[in-house]
Amino acid sequence: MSLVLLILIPLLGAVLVWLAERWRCGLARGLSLVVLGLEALLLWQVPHEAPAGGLWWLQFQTEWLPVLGISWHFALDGLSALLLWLTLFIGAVSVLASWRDIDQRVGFFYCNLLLSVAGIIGVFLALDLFLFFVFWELMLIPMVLLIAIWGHENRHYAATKFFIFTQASSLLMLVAILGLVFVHYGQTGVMSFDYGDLLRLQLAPLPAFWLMLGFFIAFAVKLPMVALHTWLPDAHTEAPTAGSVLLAAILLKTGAYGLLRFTLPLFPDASAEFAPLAMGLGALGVLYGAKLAFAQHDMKRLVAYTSVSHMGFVLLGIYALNDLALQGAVMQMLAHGLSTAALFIIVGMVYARWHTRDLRELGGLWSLLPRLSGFTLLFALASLGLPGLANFVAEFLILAGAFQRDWPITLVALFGLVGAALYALLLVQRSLWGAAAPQAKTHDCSAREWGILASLALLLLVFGLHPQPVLDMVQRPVATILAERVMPNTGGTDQVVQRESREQLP
Amino acid sequence: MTLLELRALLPLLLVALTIVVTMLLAGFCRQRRLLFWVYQLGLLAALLSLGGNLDLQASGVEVTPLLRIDAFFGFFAALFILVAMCVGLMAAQYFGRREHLAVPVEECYVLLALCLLGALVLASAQHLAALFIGLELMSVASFALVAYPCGAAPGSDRLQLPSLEAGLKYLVLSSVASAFLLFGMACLYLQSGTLAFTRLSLPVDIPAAGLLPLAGLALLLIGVAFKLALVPFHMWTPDVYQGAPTPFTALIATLSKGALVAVLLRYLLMSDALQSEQIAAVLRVLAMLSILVGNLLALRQDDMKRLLAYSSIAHLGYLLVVFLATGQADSSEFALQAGAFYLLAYSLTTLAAFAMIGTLSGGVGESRDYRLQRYSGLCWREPVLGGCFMLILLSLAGIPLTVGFIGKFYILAAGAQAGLWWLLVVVVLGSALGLYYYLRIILVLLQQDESVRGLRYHSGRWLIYGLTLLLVLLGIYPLPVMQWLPLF
Repeated sequence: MSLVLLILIPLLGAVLVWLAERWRCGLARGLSLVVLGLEALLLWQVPHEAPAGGLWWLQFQTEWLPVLGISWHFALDGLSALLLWLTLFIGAVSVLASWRDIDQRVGFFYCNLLLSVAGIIGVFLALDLFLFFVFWELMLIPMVLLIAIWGHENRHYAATKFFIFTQASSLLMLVAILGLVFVHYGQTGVMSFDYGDLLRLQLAPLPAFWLMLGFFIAFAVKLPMVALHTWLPDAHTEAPTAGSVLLAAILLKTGAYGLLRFTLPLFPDASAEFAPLAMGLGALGVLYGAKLAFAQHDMKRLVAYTSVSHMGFVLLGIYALNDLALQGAVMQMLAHGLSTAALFIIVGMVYARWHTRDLRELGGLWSLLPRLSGFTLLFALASLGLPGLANFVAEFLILAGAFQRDWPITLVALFGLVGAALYALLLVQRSLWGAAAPQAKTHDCSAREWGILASLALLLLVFGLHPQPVLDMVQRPVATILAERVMPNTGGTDQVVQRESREQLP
Repeated sequence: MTLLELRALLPLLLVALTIVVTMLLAGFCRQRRLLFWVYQLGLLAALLSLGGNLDLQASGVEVTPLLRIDAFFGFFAALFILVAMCVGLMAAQYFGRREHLAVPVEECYVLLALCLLGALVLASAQHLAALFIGLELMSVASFALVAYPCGAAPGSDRLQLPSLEAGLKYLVLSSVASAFLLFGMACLYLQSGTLAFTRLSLPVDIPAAGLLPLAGLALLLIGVAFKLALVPFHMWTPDVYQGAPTPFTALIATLSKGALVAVLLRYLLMSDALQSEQIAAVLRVLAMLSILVGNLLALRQDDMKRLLAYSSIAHLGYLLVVFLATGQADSSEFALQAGAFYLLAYSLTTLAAFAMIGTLSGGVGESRDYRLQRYSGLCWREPVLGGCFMLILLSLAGIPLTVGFIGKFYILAAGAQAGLWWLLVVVVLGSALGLYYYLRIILVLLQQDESVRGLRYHSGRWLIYGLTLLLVLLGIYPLPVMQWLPLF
């Protein structure tokens, strides 16, 4: 039941926040924090380990549309719990980051923010493919509104592009889901959208490949994989700070989560065959993102392109298909979430003071805003993978894992690190050093801003120095994902038994 | 005719009775309120009698060789009656706003009931003669409705011109389509010597039988495609949609098209027309063209009604996927359900959209301005109405938690079960195009625009709220409707 509450609380909270703002000005912000705090409490009291032998910490299932075999099926394991924590933390950060920025239709803003968070939580919990699809689409609408109403100049263009890219690709996924369901129907005579049922499916290679591609494209657009990434710079740049933070830190992770939770386990063989191409595209993304980031003048666009580069590492890690790289990919999701959120918040703070994000007009921030500049330096270094911070651990694990699998591609991706150093240092040099931009009235970080950045930095440092708890948390889910693939594909019986053993309900 | 048959026919008889009573009242006792209630109560009685006939529908009764009352009829008849009741309500509100303009409202109820009767005949037709009777009954009444006077000031008929033009266009093109239809029927009759759906089978060996039956079927399809506004027979749609009074646009978009969908579904299920590869190919091309062209032409429309006209072309294209899926034995049952649900979702959403346009663009005699700019900033001026509009548009686009999504889901599922992968790719492509213009309207609704001010929105809010609520409820919990869907 707590799983249902985890989704219901932000949904109801969203409505409440909207109404509260009409009642009293400024109430919405505090109330959003309270809602997220409640969520965190709820998540805290959930048992943080699986019953012996199982994968899921907690499950919930009840009928929705029995005619079509659709149910409300939620489940929580280490991977989803980790991402839920990230979601809640980033949600709170984006509420705090937009404390002063948003002065119009405040209630509706936080309503949309919470709705988006609710949709994302649903995506991380849903285990019925129909349900998953519903949440997958639902998290987008409030995000599109966030961009379209509170965004910068070119917001309508960016919102439309974002909407069409993600929706069109997810319709492809819906077609693939339906294909999968009807293969299952043909084999068993039962309609079912349940993850557990569909996992047991035996697919012929050709349909498996096409269905896998349907899922892959939907997740690759969200990730984003290079060639399907063009919505990202626009959406991230035009969104308000809180929107960019949510987009970069959590929404992109849903793509990676989908690959891990659905594409790999549902189509183990097709994925293994597809892996070299996916790894290649990942490596290409790393280089291409870094190169484009290097060429940007707009600070926010620069940060947006670093996302393409970092998520390329995630794709590389996921398709390396071994323990080390998968754990690294999850770590990278976490680290990228924290460091990019921080960079977007910094860009927002700079923009609030100078009303420009153009690196050609900025400069000399260090002499004016030492505290903010210090943080900028720290997060830029995190972004380039400085040892001691979480990003380093993640990239190291991914590269080490991928190297075992396919060294030439890994070698190519390795050059992405040089690119990262280039763009991160460029960002630092152009904005922090040099002569101060002529702007008299500025103030350094307020306590609120300092708190946000310090907490993000602290987490990056903690995970960088002591990543073991995170790795432990995802160790089991990762092992299960790989078990689907590595298992010899001889008799079907072994496989089914193996799969059922982790389906045990608590 | 036995008593059983009469009982089975009761819904049709009650609607016919409503027509007679409203006509007499319109002649002798011109009170619009009275007529409105007679119309609504007559339809309600028909709906109740439909409920009382469930046992007959379950077993299926043949009333003369022409009509067949079964579960299929039950579902579509209930849908059509509800749609007609909603349109009656919209018309009452639309004309009620300008009573002083002395528009003759009374007759519209007669015409609406006539249209409904035609639709009910189509829903039960199992014979080409019944098809033609129902079709003409419906079309002739809707010519008059499209050209319905909507209140020009005395001495000036400028405001009347668009609807007259639309009516004339609709009349001429519909008659041409009917001619095609009749000729097709003649060809089929020449070949098989019967007009009943079941026995209109195509000869197994087409070359030997000559091209006559195939040509007949093709002509029949052209006639139907005209009425359904499938590309390339769609030219009349935007003009007629734009020119007709808004409630009657809603009627054309939902009832007229829905009835044809119903009769075509029954025809395809009863005969083996789809066994012919040529016919299936023609339908496939019609579907692809309708989806792509409809959505492409809607992209740059600035007029709300024209936009909806093009989007309805695309929606009918999606429905053709279901028609094609009925061709395969293992998926025909599910395809029928998919078609029925999609039609319901489409009708509900389209009705809501036109109710919205009717409320937002002023009443009779006011300017017929349906441009998008009129709606700019609606979400801030009228949050509830704007929110409803957004939900309606999301439902048209097929976003989850609205009934439109479940409809699209059914279409994709039917297509996937029948293995029509290429067609599904086109559906996905068309939906992506569709997102662009629906989102465009939503962005207009969200604009911070202070220029549009002082527009007062009239009655009709409650109908919109009700329809929108239904649209969301059925989107979240469609199970009751799903269990009610007909099996053939």
